[in-house]
Amino acid sequence: MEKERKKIVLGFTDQEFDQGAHICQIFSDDEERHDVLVNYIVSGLKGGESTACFSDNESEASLMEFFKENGLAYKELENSGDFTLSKTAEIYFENGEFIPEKMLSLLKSFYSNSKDKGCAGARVVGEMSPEVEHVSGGDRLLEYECMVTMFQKEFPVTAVCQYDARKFDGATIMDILKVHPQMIVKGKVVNNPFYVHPQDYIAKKIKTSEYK
Amino acid sequence: MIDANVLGQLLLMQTVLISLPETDSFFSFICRGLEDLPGIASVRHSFDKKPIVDDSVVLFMLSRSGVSYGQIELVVSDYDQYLPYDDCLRNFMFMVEIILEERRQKRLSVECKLGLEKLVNIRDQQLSKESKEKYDIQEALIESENKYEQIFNATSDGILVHDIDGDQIYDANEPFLKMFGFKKSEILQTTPDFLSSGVSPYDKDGVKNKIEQVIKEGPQIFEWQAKKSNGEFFWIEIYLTYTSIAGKNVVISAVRDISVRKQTQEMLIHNEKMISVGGLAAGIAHEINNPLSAMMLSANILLNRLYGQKKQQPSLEIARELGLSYESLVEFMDRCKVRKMLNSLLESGERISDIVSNTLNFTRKSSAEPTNCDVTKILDKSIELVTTGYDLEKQYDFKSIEFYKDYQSDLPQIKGHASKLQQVFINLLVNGAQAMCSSGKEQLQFNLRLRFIEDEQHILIEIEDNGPGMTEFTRTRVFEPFYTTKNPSDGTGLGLSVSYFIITTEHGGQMSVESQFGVGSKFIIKLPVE
Repeated sequence: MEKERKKIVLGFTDQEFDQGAHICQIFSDDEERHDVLVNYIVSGLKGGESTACFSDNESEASLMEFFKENGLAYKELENSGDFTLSKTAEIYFENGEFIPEKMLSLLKSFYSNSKDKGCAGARVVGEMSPEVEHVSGGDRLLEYECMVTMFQKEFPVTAVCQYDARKFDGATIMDILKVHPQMIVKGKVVNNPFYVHPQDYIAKKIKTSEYK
Repeated sequence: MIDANVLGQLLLMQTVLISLPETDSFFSFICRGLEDLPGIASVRHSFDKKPIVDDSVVLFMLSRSGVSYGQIELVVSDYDQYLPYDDCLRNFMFMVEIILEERRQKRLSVECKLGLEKLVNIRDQQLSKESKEKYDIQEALIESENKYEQIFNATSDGILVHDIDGDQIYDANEPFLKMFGFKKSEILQTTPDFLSSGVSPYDKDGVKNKIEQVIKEGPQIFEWQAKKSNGEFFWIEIYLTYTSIAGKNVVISAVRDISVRKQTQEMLIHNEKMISVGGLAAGIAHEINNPLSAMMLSANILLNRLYGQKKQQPSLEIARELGLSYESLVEFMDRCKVRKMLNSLLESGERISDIVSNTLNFTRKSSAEPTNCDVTKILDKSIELVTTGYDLEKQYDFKSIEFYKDYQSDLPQIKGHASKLQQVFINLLVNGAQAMCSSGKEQLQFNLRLRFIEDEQHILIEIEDNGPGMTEFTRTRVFEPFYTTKNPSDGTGLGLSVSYFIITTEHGGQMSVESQFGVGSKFIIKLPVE
């Protein structure tokens, strides 16, 4: 039996969610991506959640002004560890390798630290880079997304995964959709009709021998 | 039964497709998404033009405005599972074609506009440059002028050149004059706001605002409601630029007629809404059926136990065991109006049952094979049926309505279901009659028009009344299930929705309505001729 979870807002929509949601954003417009990202980060920090951002397209300068407008002190939050900004490759492909287990362990310590510090919750936003298709272990991306969904059942880290439709192949985008329970459509979060439960998804992949 | 989740998948795919660049990616997304549809084994996109002889393959040719985008081949593993989604997929493929065509048009438009801008700049430079030889200047000018004139008129977009105050038109090319229905001498006497509909924001102030914007912010692209020389309103897309020609500051409008695009968009949005609302309504109706049957069965048994002729014996025995007089019990029930209430319960149940049955028709295709149908005969038969009855309660009388028929002779036959088409025509005629009789107008008339549109290979059926017409709000909702302007006792709001589904889903046709409040309404049906 899952524990009742705290309700949170995501900043870019008025909807309320349980902590530990796993949401996907397929975008083709940088402004659309940036809007979701900054509103999500700011609402998390305002709600007292420990927040992490993994993106190649954001910098201290691009976020600083938005933080200021919302009464948040960027440096202070960074120094206290309540907010971290990292490049995608630094986090996902450390040493040029993508290892899902390592990512999950990172998410787990991120969650534990936030809990130890007494934060109201933990949330991440990660923009996946197309480089993933060329690094060792990159073929485990979908497996990783499935693992995140299962991980969240125990550790309610809220996650928004951003994918640039201009940089990934259409079939890959469709596969990515299938491993996210919810997705952002025109600024709203909707239950994803393509979503396949992680265990079913992995079982199907094993059957078709695409997955070892 | 259609699974609402699958409809959701198709709608979501349409939304995501818009974000995907027009390359192999666009089609690989479609193929991967459609693979999971019920009854489908695999999906492929190709540009092969080889005829497919395999019965298990369903082929969708993608083309629009004479441009081919290849074909999508579905290998069907279970035809029964696949069949309920066939129409949804046809709508989906239509949407895919529209997205691709829109992209092509946009690309062409940008190319054309860039070419025009370049030309204007070259011409401007030529005119501003001081030449050493006067003769050379004149020659260059004439050559440039000819070149400019040729391209100015050769572009498919309309072009209008006017001053920055919106008070004077300097020039307009041939496509622009044709689009608006003016001669060149006439248009030079008008102003840009005269070519607008005049409905805010498409009026004089709107024109000034747009000019201010283009001067301050640079080129602008926007949609605009325009007016032709005959007063007809239509939609255009304007690419507005601000430049200087021969030292004079001017505003250039590159204009494209987007009436068809607007109508298509409206139709697509409407189709999507009808699919999702129809599917949802049918789902709810299905859930209502079981408890409704139980309720009606119980009411029937109660009536039989109390008042039935043959089945009184068990009731008599129970009454005797309890020491009650059966007759007194029935008398008691009658005085308490139980019989009346039970009958009322059954009547209401039957009404719900009718609604449920109509609603389920949204997603249920007729199992009968289509046959050759003569639309003229079906329409005349429908008129004969409705005019032979007078319904006092409903307060409409076909005898007070004139029928004006404008039928093309020798219409080709169509493949369809005559009884279903008759149901649609009767529904439209009865609705029209009700509306006309409630309008208080003295001369009531139906204008009925039948045509064969050879280019598009369809039969056009128009049923027009001179009733009270509809507001725009009503017109856009008139086909939605359960939407009605009548009293609840006069209609369920399903008649037009069912008609819409009969025409679109069962006959692969189109159905739309035009209406002017206070003037009348015209229902337009297009049925494909195979």
